[in-house]
This record gives sequence, structure tokens and C-alpha cells, in this order.
Amino acid sequence: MESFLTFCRGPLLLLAFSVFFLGAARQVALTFVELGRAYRRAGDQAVNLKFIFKRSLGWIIPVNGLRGTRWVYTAASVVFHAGMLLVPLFLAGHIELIRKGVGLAWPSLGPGAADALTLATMAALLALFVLRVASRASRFLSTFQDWFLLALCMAAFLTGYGVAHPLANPLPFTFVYIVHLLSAELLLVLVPFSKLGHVILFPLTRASWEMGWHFVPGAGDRIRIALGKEGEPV
Amino acid sequence: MVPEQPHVQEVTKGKGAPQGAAPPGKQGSGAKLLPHQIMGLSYYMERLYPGDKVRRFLEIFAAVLQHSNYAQLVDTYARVGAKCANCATSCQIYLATKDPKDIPCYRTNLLLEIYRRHFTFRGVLQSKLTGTVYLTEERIRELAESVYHCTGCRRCSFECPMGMDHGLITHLSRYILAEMDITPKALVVATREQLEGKSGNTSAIPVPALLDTLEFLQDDIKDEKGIDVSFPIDQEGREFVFFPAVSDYLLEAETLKGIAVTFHAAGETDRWTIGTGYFDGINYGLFYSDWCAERIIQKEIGETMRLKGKKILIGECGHASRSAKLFVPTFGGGKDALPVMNIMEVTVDMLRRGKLKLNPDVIKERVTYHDPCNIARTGWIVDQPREILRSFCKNYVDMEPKGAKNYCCGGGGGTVSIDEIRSYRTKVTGKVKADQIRATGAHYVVAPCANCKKQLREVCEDNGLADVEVVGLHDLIYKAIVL
Repeated sequence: MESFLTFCRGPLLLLAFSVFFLGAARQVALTFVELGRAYRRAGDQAVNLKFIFKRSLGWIIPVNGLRGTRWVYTAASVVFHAGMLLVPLFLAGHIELIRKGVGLAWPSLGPGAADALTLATMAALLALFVLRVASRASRFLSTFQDWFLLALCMAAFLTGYGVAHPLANPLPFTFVYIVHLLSAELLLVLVPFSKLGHVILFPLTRASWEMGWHFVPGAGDRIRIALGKEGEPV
Repeated sequence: MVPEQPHVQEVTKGKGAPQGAAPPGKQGSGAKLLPHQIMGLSYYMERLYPGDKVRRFLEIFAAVLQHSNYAQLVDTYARVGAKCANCATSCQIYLATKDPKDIPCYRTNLLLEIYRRHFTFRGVLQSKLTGTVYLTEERIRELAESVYHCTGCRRCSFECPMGMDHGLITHLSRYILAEMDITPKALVVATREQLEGKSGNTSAIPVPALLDTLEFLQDDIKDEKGIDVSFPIDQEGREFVFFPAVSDYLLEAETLKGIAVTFHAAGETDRWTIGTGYFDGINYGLFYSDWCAERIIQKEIGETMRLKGKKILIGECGHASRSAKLFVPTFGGGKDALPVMNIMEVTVDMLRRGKLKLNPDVIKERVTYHDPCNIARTGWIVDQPREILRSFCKNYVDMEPKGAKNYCCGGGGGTVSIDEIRSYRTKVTGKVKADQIRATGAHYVVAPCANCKKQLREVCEDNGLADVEVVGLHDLIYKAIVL
């Protein structure tokens, strides 16, 4: 058990980070290459950057969402995303682990703040789950990964809380620790390969949208030639 | 062009789609209207690709991804979709049908899943390992039905946290389907006449008939207003070459008279001209085919160049304005392309310069304004028409929601041309619009768009709003202008 824990904390964690960073780099690089190609081929090269920034920021600062019909969903979503970013990055224990590994360190959240944020994130996760079950539209759209990723996030946070509060935790400490490490590592690995890709691509999706409307002159003719429909009438 | 009945049959017989069971137009007003019962692919297709349809679909998809700019879009979208269902809250079709297959994200995912399963490493590997082919004729049929349920209003684009433009994916899906000849007949027939027919426009109006119409309109103005107003024809070197939705010449006389009188009253008749070489603003390519869109735009650019015009002026028409605004720079030389303006931008400018006098005592009835999606969704033309209307309509009220977040008339994306689905358009997609109009209590609904006008008249007729008059903006100007 202990040696497996060491394995999870060591080589497996390194592997998970490698997959995450390499996968992320690959996605960002490919997206930029594709966007660049789209830009060069576009007939109209005036790109509406204001639109891209405005629409992206609009979702980071969710003023409209909080005023809309799904404000509960928006609120839960904002809390969840804030916790998902802040807790893993600024927890004292995590920073300590990274300092030991690669020698980097940065300021951490106080234990009180970290606990509050963790609990809030878990509450938000529960709310997102309930809303996904309760809304007919969400339920219909949801596939296995939508449920699985929610459960995985919950597992990571719940066990994380257990690790931080060993006295409140009825299960064996090592077991909880291992589950925490495995669930978090799986989340990292899944980022480049699932809908979690938005973690990386979020700032670029509006750029893709904008470039999507920049059509290529002559593309229609080339497509018809490729299909052997040259000269055919409408 | 004989419809190949066996193939149509083959595709239309699908699960839970009782085509022919309930003929359109025979639905009782109390009957529960399910879009699947109203629409069927048989309305759409003129002919169908006779060979292996699955293979053909994938060939077309591959060619489109290779030669166009959609590849980066589809690839990004295929990775990020979060299935949050925010879009469901804004889609008037889903809100009317409550059929989860009408959720924008579901519709988009129909195409994205084909991409994931046939064009990504993981999808191809999955197919190889399981020995299955994801795409089937049934899935093509579902996609085709689905993308023509959508009016392409793009209201949902505000709601997607991931920045998916479902309207653009609908456009792409329709384009792929169009290359295998799955497109509503009404759109194809009109576009064929425009690009390859003798008249060269969607309403098949020959030039002598156009000239007769304009002469008739001039006589009308003389009778009604007592002044001689001319429609400038084939004048070279004018600032604007004018392209309305060509159907206006047949159906919207008041709008055209209003535009001519506006230029006359401002003393600026020498700013515009109508070209007899090409005079149609309609571009159904925006709805279903980039290939057609480009060719139609080249006709507009060509006629403007022939007449040495400086700008392309689009009449009261939403999709004509948006397609020109979008495609003239795209297919006409980027930043060197001819500028495109909508007639309301010109009129509001005349009003601001004090060139127009509008009598505030003429229009006494309550007036409201319907924002055509194609010009309002990006915020391009929202305030201009309101500024004009408020200047002379004492009893002006707005609908809610309005502007960029308006509801579609229910006949967007070319669906208004399909007469067979009138009950779907007026009772399902147009229902929320009828409620909005009723709530304003307005007599005049101003809809500066040929598409919206036809649709809203039918919506009012079918929803017990017989007293409502659907008009163009320049129709009211024509009534109130001081000459």
C-alpha cells in the first residue's frame, strides 16, 4: 500500500503532468496552426478581435448569466470553476509537493480559506449534478463522459478534503490519499482527450468561431472539382 | 430533374416519422403539432444522389474540410462541447416543441459526432476495432430534418459558454447536404433561376416586366402624392447601386415607393440607381451553399462595377443585407471590396442631416418593430430603424426581448419559402412571435425584411391577429413624408 502510494506520488504524478502538458501544448499548437491557415486563406482578413475578446470575457465575468433564466446554474458553475482552478493551484500541500519535486514555490491559501473553497466547490458540484438531472434538456444531452467527469471531480475534492482532515476521515488514510492522487491524475490526463479540452481551448473557441465565418474564395469550385461535379448545374 | 421517387421513399421511411400521415395545412388548430409530423424530407428533395449515400456524404465532408475554413472550427468544437443545455433556454423552437432533438447543441452534435467518428484518429480506430460504420442513411436523414427545423437565427450563440455558433454548424451541415442534393426544392429552384435561368433573378422577373413595374410605381406615386418621382435606371457613376429582395418588385410596392420618395424628398435621387443587368439582392447561398453564395455575390459586384457604382445598397431585406455585408469582402477582395450599406442606414443619415420631414400626425396607431435576425443579431442595425420610427410615430412600443436578442419571425434560414410547412412555421417556430406581437397591442408591425414580412403575415393570420398590419419601414415613411 505504502509503496503504491509512493508510486502514485512520484512517477505516476510525473506521467500525468507530462501527458497534460504535452497534450495541452499539442492542442494549442495545432489550433494556432489551423487558425493561421484559415487566416491566410480567408478572402476577408479583417478579424473582429473585439468580438473575440468581448464574447470570451463575457463568460469569465458572468454578469449576463447571473441575470438570465439559469442564474442558479451560472452561479454554481462560476463557484465550481473558481474552486477547480484555485484549490489545486494554491493549496499549501500541493505547493509543498511541487517545491520538493521541482523546487518551485508560490504563496498558498490559508487553511481556512482552502477549506471553505473546497466545501463551496463540492456544494457547487452537487448543484451542477442536481441541475443536470433535473433539467430535461441537460439529461437528454448528457453522455457517459458528462456524468463520469462530474463524479471524478467530486472524488478528487472529497478525498482531498479527507487527506487534509485525517481526523474527520473514517476510512484508512493511505487509501483515501491514493484515491485522491489517482482521481486527480486521471483528470489531468483526460484534459487533452475529453470535453475538459476547454480548459486549454476556451480562449481560442471564439477565434475559431470568428475564423469559421471567414470563407475561402473559390473553395466552392474546388470542392465541386474534387467531387467530380465540375460544370454541373445548380 | 424528375424526382426519383424510390430513393425519396427509401430515405423518408424512418423511425417515428410518419410522413404523409398528416398532410400539411390540414392540421386542425387544436391538434398538437409535432414538427416531425409536419415536415418530411420528401418536401425537400428534387432528386437524390443515387449511389452509396453514406460514402458520398463522407466524400463531400472530406472535400469541404480540405478546401474551406471549416476544419479548424469543427475540430475545436468537437473537443469542447460541454452539453450544458444553456442553449435550450434560448431556442424558440425547442421552447415550442419541447422535443429534445430540437436543442441546438444536440443538432450541432449530429455533425460533430460524424466528424469525431470518421475524421479523428480515435474515431477511426474505434471503427476498425469494433468493425462498425458510424454514419448511416438514417443518420443522414436525421441530420437533414434537423438542420431544416432550425431557422438559423443564431439566438443560441449568446448562450454557449464554449463559444459554439450553432448557426454556423447548421450552415455547414446544410452545405454538405446540398452537395448531395438534399435541399428544399423552393430554395434550389429559385437559386437555379438566379444563376442559370433566363431572367437571372429568383422571382424570374424579366427586365421589361421590371421596367413596367417601376413605371407603374411612378404613376402610383403621382396619383397618391401628386409629384413626379423617378426610379433611376442604369445610371452610371452613382453612389449606390440598389438591390432589394427581388420579390419586393412583385409584393412590396409600398416599400419601394417609400424608398424612392425618401431619396426624392431629400433631393438626393442622383445618389442611387437600379441596374437592369442584375437587380436581385436575394442570396439563398447564405442558407445552404457557399458555392452558390459566392456566385450570387459576384453578380452583385459585377453589376455595381458595370454601372461604376461606389457602394452596394441593399433594400429592406435581412439575409440579403447580411450576405452582402459578409460575402462582398470575402469574395470581392477583402479590404478593397465595395462597401455595403442597408437602406435604413442611408435613411437615418438623411434624417439626422435634417433632409427628411416626417409628419408626426399621420401614423396614429400603435407601432412596434420586429428585428430581422440577420441584421440585428450582431447589433449592426438595431437603433437606426428605431430612431426613424420614434421621430414620427407617437405611439411606438418595443417588443421584449428585442434588438440583438430578439426572437426570429419563425421563417428564417429559407424556411419561409417552403409553403408546405406553413403550419410548422406559424404554429411552432412563429408562435412566440405571435405572442410578442399580441403583447404589444400594436396595429403596425414594422419588419424591414421580405422574409419576415411574408412569415409574419402568415403568423398573424394563423394566430388570430387579423387586425395587425405587417409593413416595411419605408411603407410608413411613405405615408408620413412631407413633400
